Amino acid sequence: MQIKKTLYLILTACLSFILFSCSSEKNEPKLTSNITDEVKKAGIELISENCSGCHIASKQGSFSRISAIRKTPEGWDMNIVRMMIFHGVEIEKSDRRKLVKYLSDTQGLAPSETAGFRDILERKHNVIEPTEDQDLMNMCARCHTYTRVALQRRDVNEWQNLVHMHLGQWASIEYHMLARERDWRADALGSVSEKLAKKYPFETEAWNEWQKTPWKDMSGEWRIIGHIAGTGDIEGTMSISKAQGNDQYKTSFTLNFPKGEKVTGGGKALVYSGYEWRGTAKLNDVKYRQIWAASSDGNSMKGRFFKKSNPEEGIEITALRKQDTVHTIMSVTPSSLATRTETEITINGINLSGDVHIEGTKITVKSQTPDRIVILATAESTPDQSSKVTIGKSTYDKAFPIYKAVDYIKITPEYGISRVGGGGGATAKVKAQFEAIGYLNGKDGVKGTKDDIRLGMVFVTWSHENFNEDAAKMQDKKYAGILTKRGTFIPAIAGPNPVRKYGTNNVGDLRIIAVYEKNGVKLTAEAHLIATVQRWNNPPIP
Amino acid sequence: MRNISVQKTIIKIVISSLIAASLFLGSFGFAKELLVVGARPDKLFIVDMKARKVLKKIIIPDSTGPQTIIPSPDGKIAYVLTNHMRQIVGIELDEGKIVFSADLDYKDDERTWNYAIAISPDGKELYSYDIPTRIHLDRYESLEPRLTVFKTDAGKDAKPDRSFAMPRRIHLMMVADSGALYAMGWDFYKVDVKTGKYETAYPLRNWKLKNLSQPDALAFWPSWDNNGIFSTPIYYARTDIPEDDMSRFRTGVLSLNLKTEKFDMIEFQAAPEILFTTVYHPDHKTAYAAYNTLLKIDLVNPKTLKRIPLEHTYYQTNISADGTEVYVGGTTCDIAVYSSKDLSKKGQVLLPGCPDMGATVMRIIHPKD
Ligand code: HEC
Ligand code: HEC
Repeated sequence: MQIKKTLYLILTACLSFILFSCSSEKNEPKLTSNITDEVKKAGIELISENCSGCHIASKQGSFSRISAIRKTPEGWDMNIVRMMIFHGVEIEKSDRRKLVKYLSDTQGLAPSETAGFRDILERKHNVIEPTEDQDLMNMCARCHTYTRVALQRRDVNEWQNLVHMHLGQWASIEYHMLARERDWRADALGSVSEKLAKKYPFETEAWNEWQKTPWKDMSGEWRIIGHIAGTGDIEGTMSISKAQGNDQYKTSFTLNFPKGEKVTGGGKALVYSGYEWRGTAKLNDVKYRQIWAASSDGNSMKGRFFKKSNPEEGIEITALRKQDTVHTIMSVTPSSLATRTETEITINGINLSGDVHIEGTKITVKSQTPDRIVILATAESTPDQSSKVTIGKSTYDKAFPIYKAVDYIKITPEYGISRVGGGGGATAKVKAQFEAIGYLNGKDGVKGTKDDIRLGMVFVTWSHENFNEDAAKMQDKKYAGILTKRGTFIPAIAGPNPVRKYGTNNVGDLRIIAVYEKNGVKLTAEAHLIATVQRWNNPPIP
Repeated sequence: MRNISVQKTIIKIVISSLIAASLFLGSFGFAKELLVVGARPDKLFIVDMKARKVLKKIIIPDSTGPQTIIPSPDGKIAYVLTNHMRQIVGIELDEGKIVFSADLDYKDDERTWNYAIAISPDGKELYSYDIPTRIHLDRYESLEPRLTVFKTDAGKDAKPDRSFAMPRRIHLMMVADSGALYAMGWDFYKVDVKTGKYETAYPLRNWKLKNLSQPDALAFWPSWDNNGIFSTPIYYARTDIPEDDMSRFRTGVLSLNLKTEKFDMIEFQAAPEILFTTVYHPDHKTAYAAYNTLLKIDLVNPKTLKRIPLEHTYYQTNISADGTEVYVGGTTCDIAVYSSKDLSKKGQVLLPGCPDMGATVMRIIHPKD
């Protein structure tokens, strides 16, 4: 509370130019805010101009409701869009962008507050949300993700205000399944609001601390590694240079995609709340977006690079700043080695120097730069199944299994969703990507136990079948879409299909089958795909 | 999966509904029988079902999508809920003239959702169940629902005659021959329209039936035009049967006889099957239920007598006064006709221009000349 008050005091002081009052706060813990007085003033003016018609301004420079909630950049943008759609707010595009930036910087979430909920934020498709509390999921995660809830911070009266908005906007909320058998309104305003205020309160130590943490300069040379599900690993470099201020950057990329595909491009990025990296880039003429988070020391970033047109198609990346003092192995591709065959292995990292050693293998180095070493490796033994990769003094922090044969394979996701689209309609098809992962049974020789060893992506033959009798009757396999050689399910066109029973859309309930065959070993795995209808709106946090 | 999308469909259906008392009970074959149905965005059709002919199309001015329809007891006026569940328009069916209009958002700082409408047996009063929200400058405030009574002769800017607080989550109302108002929600309430006092007439959420879970019955469709019986599918589980045994899921028909005001609950099948509506045969010995399938149900020795697949999904079932024809409609733009005897298809009526019926209702009227 103390710090918040102080912040308000400073705001007022600087607003009314009573600088004396600013310096009179000497005894308080000093706030080294990343926001300059100028930026603050401009932010308050923006809110004043666009929002104060309804949100009452106080002398302290706060605005009713607006100043009592913290959200992610996406959360703030969705909020402003609602003001536009529901409440007729007219706001210039550039003002909207500036407001989202200002609000995220001054009332955002700390890195630790978003850490558990980044998958949905990064537009990962077909991920299962963490379920901490089934009752909260039933109450608040049946129309949208729980992430939308968990990425906001407010006190109990503001959680209640949010419930009132829901009830006023969608009266049917009390009549839905999972709601109608209870007093949804009483529960939402009561125990649920209280629980949320405890879990996700407005004021937190994490955010107070983070505001005092100076924003890092992200410019410099970076090394990137990543993975495209179903396809393979990527690696490359990224140059970041300052574009403007302490939060706007230009980027350029030189990347190697699987099968030797060279990909280059560049773009720009804006950093929100000091660590939320949001970028756009064109890679080989394909438009991509980035939703990444920087570490608090500003030396690493993690997140997703995805196609603007199809956010479900993307690359999960890790980027590390190149520093003279850092010698590190970032990735080894492939991530495991079969005995008997000589295999080309690429090791990516920063300042790699010295001898390459992988326990139990014979190695010849094909090429070597500080970024990248390509070797030919032949396993001579299977030393306890998980070996280590070392280069000079650097040891790869992941195990590098050497194996005779894959014991079993698994498909991820085990349960996927695709959505019809296209066909001249407003929404694009949403594909579903499957990937087969090879495993060893581990020491106990039993599949599915803790000591199983993940070998990494394996190449398989993909096929799909009707999930059950109902699906067979409806001929779902025939109508719902096709599965590519890379495990991508491409759904069929949107709209009622007159040749189907009941004129059903091209939806379907399917079994996805992966078959792995090597050296006479044949392994299969199955996953479940629901090919369903489109979502009519695709908000940034679904 | 299909269950999932079906649930979504159910969720999307936010319509309410009403009554036309049971004056026509026993009037088999008497006068002409007409079906009134709405369609998006602003249409009302009058259909002679026996002749398979659309007789008339009425345009509802400034309408965004008619939902429930409440015929006056004399069959001359249809009260239609429209404009996002916040306006009731009374339309004189002969000439298509607007004779009544009530804005349910009658308080300046409120926005209202209507979830049920009923009419008194003498046709003089409309009962409207509304869920209001107060719109403050920078926040919403969800308020308690209310029953608002309008006089049907109040004209085109009708103001409430009186209003009362009501329980939440009511979705269907009907009036018994006696004039008693019944409202279905968590429980079935009987409401005194003079005082606003209500009492539980039949417990649902609070039922104490042995070995039966809390039931689920979200009824929006009127079913009493030609039989004097409100009825709806009702779902519950037998808690004494293991969770992995699908036969624990039971389906029944819940009914209220609008003449005797007696409730009945008849369980007729085990295992899950989605049904949106039921309608009693005028002889009260069988009933019909629809969604993706059409069922004929024996109410005397409870069981499903026959089940046929429908050509597409239909929300509502209705029946002719002589009990020979079952009508299924809602969803798209056709009303299909089936024989009440053996469920063989007898024909269909296509609404001209194929407008979407959506979540509107089919009502059967017998206008008196
Ligand atoms: C025309 C009146 C009006 C204007 C102008 C307006 N708002 Fe709102 N705002 C509302 C109303 C009404 C609500 C409560 C209902 C809701 O949440 O949609 C609200 C709610 C909010 C909330 C709380 C949302 C939540 O998550 O619970 C925030 C934050 C907010 N507004 C921000 C803004 C911002 C920022 C602007 C300026 C760009 C703005 N509003 C402009 C009327 C307005
Ligand atoms: C009936 C479906 C439904 C349920 C149930 C539901 N929500 Fe929402 N919620 C929505 C929709 C739709 C929106 C989008 C509003 C908009 O357009 O901005 C939303 C928006 C939100 C937002 C973003 C609002 C903003 O302006 O930032 C939050 C946070 C939220 N809901 C939390 C909750 C919580 C907490 C619960 C449980 C008490 C809940 N929701 C239950 C439908 C639902």
